Amino acid sequence: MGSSSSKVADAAPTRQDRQKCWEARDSYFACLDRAGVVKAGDEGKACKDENEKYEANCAKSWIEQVIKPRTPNVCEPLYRDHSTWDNNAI
Amino acid sequence: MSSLLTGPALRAQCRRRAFHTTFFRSQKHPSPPQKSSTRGYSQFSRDRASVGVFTPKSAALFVAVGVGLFFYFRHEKAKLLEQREQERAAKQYGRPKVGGPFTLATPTGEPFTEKGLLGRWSLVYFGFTNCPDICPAELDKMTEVMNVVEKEHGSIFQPVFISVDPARDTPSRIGQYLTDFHKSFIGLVGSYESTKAVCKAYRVYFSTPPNADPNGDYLVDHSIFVYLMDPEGQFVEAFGQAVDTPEVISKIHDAVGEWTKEHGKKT
Repeated sequence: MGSSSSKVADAAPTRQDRQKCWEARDSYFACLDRAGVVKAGDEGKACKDENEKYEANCAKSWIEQVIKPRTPNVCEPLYRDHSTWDNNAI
Repeated sequence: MSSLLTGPALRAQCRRRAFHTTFFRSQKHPSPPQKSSTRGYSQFSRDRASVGVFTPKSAALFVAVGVGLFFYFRHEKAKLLEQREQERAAKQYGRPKVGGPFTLATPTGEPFTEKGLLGRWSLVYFGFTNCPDICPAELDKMTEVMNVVEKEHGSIFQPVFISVDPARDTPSRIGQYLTDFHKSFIGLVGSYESTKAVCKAYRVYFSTPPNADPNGDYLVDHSIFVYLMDPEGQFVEAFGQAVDTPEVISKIHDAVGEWTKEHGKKT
């Protein structure tokens, strides 16, 4: 399949391509949850395999689009309970 | 009036009325109902003028009600026609100016204009093949809608995908992309200028810059409405992302029903 940029040029993503990307994304995010990491990229080597699979299966532009929205989802319970607010973590 | 008159005065009054009654009766004019004290007279005249239950009084009532109803229904009908006319006018004034002429290319590279959409109901969506989630979800929704409305009304619908990413979306790429969705989808793309023109006609915003890299990895920000256009190419309705499949189906059903009522056929 090669790098994500050559994939973009060759052919449009198919339903299977999108499915693979969402599955890789889900397992990477599940790993972040297990590691207790809020911001993707802060996990160190904890989710290396999952992250590699995620980057191999999703275009870079897609990753940028979906990683960012994750933070508010993870942080929502924190926002709801003001006593646990920690600006550094968010 | 009667409460002011008592005893002899009342009787005198009644007698006077009775006299008038008999006088007019003899001239073959019906008269208003009489008080109990005049019963003797009216009883007598009714016996002479009536045929069975059909008295002059009931005949007059019958004619009066008939005439009344005739005018009432004529009035109601006129009111209804006027109301319908007003609704029609309002619909025409209220119809947004969406859609218009365009020249784009099909997946096989043939030119395709707005005339190619006439004679069928079209569902028009703007997107790009590298779209991660919203476009495929909307195209899946359109596919579901197509499956239902085609079963109900026949092959009178044309789903259309117009690319807002002319730098990367070649006609053949769009053709390949659309194989994941309903088989009657037609994919259209043009130059940057013609893409801009068709987007302007449909009031669609898109963020692709004119000098986008054909090999670049970028996303396009764009409006995500599905436009329902009638067989004459006129805008009917725009469905946002929040409008779910059953609602789109029922709106299409309503639009086709109304059109059929007006034109006598579905397309």
